[in-house]
Amino acid sequence: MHDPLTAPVDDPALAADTTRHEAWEWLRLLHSGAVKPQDAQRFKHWLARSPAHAAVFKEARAQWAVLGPASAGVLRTNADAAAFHARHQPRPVLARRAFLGAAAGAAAMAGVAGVAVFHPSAGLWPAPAGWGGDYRTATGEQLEVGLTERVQVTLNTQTRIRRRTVDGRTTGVDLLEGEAAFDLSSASGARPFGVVAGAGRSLAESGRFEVRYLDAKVCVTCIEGAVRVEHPAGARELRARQQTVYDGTSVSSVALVGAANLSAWRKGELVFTQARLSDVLDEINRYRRGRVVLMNTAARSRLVTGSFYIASLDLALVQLQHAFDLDARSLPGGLTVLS
Amino acid sequence: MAEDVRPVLMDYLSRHYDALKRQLGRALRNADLAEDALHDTWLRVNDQGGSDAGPIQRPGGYLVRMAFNIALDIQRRQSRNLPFEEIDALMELADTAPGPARIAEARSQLDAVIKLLDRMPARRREVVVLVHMEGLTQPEVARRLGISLRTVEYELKHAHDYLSARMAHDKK
Repeated sequence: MHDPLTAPVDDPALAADTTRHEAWEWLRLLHSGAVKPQDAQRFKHWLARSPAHAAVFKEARAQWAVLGPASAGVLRTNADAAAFHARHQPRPVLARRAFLGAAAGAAAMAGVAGVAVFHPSAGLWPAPAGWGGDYRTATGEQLEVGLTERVQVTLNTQTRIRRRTVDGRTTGVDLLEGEAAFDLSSASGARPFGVVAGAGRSLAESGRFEVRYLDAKVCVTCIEGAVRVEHPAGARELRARQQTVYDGTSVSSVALVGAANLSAWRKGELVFTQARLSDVLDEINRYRRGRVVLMNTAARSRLVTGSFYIASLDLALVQLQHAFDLDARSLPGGLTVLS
Repeated sequence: MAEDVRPVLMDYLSRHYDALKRQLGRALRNADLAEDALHDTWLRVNDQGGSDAGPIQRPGGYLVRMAFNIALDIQRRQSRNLPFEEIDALMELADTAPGPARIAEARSQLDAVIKLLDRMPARRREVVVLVHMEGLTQPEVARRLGISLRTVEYELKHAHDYLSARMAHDKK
């Protein structure tokens, strides 16, 4: 790192600066993705050479950890910074649009067919409305995608994700809306896989986790392994069956999740424990075509415990209607009014 | 490159090649590596002369140092990358150091750090964002921004030196 023959510095302030610079140089190396066994040896020697080295390194490490959330923060508060950042994002979506623009003179259908050829991932979801994401699901649909050799993604209903790549290598996804489950097979030395949703980012190297992004709230649940959730307001480390919720400005503490509620949707079920009827209907609306509206104020906060099959949600509605003694009217346009 | 240095070095290399190889082999405890490194040293001197201008007092010492650094580079290229768990373990080595838990304290500085980033030149700030928020490596940042790796290294080092100095100062 530095020439060991350099004479020791006499000025204590200068020496402190030097140690601080060295600590940050070590941090840069340790985060470089190419740390060699001999680096490890040199780092251990450097740490052991003086108690000040270890103390300064520890402080620098904590400060390093702030720079991720601070970077996210400055992108939110500084429009110039955000614009600069956006200009330098690799955007497969823009490339697709550019191609469509070039093909504008030709028949629209020819343009769409061409997209599927140029962007194989787009071909999986050829819906014209799908430009906002690489993969998306319609109401009531679930979709499994092998994103990379080691990352399997399951999209729940009404979900859009966009792949993030660096030099052609997939490093994660943006969850634009909805809910998705991520299965990561472990690979030694694999880089963490990141899911960006709203203001935060979830990182994992192996295991299984789910991210749900609805109504400007993001809920991250770790099912197996470990997930690190980074947010401008702080970071959370999740272990199996732990969950945290964040929005644009705050992040909750870590909570435990019951086994029954854990990723029931992947088994085709909706499970509720003491949930308000209005919340239950909101959830059913996400999965079911048409829309159910509750016009009975008193019934809104009645509590529901039970499980329903996603494949037969009309039956669930009938059960709820009888359990709470409600009237049901079907109106044109798929609207069902419970009162 | 000083033109007068190259012939001196080349001359020394050709006359003392075997002695240099033995000396280097002892220092590295690896004769094959010494041979490879000295070969590369020869090529480099032949191409560029010495790496810094000015008269060289002891060509022998100069060449051994140069070959030694080349050997370290060769070793680096040939050795495996450490897996993430081992890097995490290295990072935690400092945890036995005395001192309060710094994480919470650093967190409270978040707003102050955002303001520091606010005032930073746009390109330097973006390098910080790409490294710290997107988790890119420095070569990846260079490709993303279409600038040289050297520029990325420079910008990141300056950003870190500045931010860490300010964070240390604000704490007092």
